[in-house]
Amino acid sequence: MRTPILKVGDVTKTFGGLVALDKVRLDIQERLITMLIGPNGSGKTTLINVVTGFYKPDNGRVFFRGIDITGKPPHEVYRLGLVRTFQIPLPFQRLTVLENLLAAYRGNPGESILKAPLKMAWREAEEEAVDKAFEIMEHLKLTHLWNSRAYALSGGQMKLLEIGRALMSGATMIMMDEPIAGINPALAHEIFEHMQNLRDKIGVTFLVIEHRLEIALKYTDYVYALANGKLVAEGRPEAVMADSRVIESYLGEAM
Amino acid sequence: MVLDQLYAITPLVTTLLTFYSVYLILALSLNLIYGYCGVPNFGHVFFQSVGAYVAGNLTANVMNFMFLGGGNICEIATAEARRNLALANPAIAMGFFILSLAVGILVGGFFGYIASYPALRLKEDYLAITLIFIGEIGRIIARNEASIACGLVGLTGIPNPFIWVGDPNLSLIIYTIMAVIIAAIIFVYLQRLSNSPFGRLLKSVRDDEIAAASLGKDIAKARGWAMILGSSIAAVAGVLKVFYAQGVFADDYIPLTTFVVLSMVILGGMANNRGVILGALLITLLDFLVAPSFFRLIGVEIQFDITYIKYIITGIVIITVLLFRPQGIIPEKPVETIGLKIARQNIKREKNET
Ligand SMILES: Nc1ncnc2c1ncn2[C@@H]1O[C@H](COP(=O)(O)OP(=O)(O)OP(=O)(O)O)[C@@H](O)[C@H]1O
Ligand SMILES: [Mg+2]
Repeated sequence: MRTPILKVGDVTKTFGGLVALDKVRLDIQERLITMLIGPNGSGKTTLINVVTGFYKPDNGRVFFRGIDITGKPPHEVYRLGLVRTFQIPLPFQRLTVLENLLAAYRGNPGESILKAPLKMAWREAEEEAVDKAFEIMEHLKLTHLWNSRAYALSGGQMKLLEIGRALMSGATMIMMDEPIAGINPALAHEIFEHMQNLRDKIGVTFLVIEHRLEIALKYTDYVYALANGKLVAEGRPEAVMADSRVIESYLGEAM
Repeated sequence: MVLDQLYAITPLVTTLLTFYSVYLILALSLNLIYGYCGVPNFGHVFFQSVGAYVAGNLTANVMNFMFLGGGNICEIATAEARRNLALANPAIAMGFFILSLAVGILVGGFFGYIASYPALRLKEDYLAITLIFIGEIGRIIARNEASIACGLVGLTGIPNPFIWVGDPNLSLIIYTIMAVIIAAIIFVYLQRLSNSPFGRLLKSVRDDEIAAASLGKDIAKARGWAMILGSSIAAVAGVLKVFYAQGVFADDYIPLTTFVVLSMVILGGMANNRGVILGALLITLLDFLVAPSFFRLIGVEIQFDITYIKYIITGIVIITVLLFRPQGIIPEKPVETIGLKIARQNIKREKNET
């Protein structure tokens, strides 16, 4: 087996008495779209928070490209090429759609306080960033809103902007927390097609949390299923969906 | 005749313009910290006072020590001696101003760095309160510890760097022109700085620090820089004020000053330097026109303390703005980089094609 791009080794995370993650282990392979499924409260978002440095795990370690990133602050995780989106979008409210995307661009020298006043030092990066931002807006059908402030967007548009920033970041691996929740089916399919495109053309790895499996599974290479903070199944989508423990976890106490 | 009258009101005009420059510098630097980066630095006056104490203390002590054979800086006699020294020595007079400016910037930035420590750990309201108190503690110490700026009495004899030109009004005019130029330079610098990816970085940290961190922004560093830079610029305002007033008085640096400056920023438009120019102008004029000295000048006799009217008007203006135009007279604009220009062209081209 190839070495995974992201390795989560027996991670445990508790909130008081609540065990949100219980010795969870993942091996995410490069250049695949991996789905993380599980009922509400099963620990999916918590897992992303632990991996990207927003929470510190109680136990266990996280490796990205062989580097131990356990407990590294989020901005350092980003710098290694791992970026996440938020289940509830967190746009920069008073910035425009274009500015939101530009802010996510990787390595703009103009963000340095010394170089900022010298336009020459960042002009080129800024131009490239704008071109890339318009490409992304085109894909996400946001172009007509390029100059609108983020607070004026609809819920679905904010979701799209959230995805757009992740795509803008030039990350090698993107973790998306329910990217298509609240987005119309046609566009949802297009978003997944775009992910496939990025996977095939530039080799981006995706880990996607989704509840809308009827859309998402079609584009999925591999699935991990969580229930009550525990990993209950993994494998090809068809196999995992047929797994009795997964079905049980969704139907839950009703059975 | 006319010339005589002009000559008579010269100090009034130079005071208005110098104070406008000082307020503008304060408002622009607070705008960087609060408007752009979202740190509610309600202790901003403290950083101005740091510049003021540096200017006064450094100038008085070093002048006394190097040229006047020591002596207590608070004594009237040494204050007089410092004035005479500057009268006779242009190089010394101007040299101490430049030195104060340089050291003031450094020390102001240092205190800004220290103050950014709570700025990373406290929530907005707690932070605002903490910073007000940091500033007040500074003032209370200076008020009671004579070695800083002669306590309640104040430190005098900090000579105008152009005192040697002879005519007092002329030295005021030259000083004022310089103050306006310094304010203009700071404006241009901050305009460039904020209309760059760095300005966007500060705004992203302001709008959502969690999202900013997830997109690689080092929140501590961004806030730290905003505080360091904003505080060192505020210190410049302190130095300018001291050499104009030719003295330092701890009680000039009360929290009210911060709120006057804050009202300039809110009125003009947060995160908009052009708006701040306007906001600072309006509030400075209000400050100037609704004052006993102005009414005396136009020969109107008033029987009560008009200062309170000024506070009432300022309050009404702020509340009205917050109610009806919370974004200020000139609202925040997108960061104006080359990127925005390209974007506009892209959009125009597309429209033409379809
Ligand atoms: N910061 C927190 N403090 C306390 N409890 C938390 C915190 N974050 C998550 N939890 C708890 O951990 C459990 C897992 O939550 P998590 O958000 O990871 O679920 P999820 O799988 O993403 O669910 P959903 O599909 O509804 O988004 C829940 O019981 C939740 O209440
Ligand atoms: Mg979740």
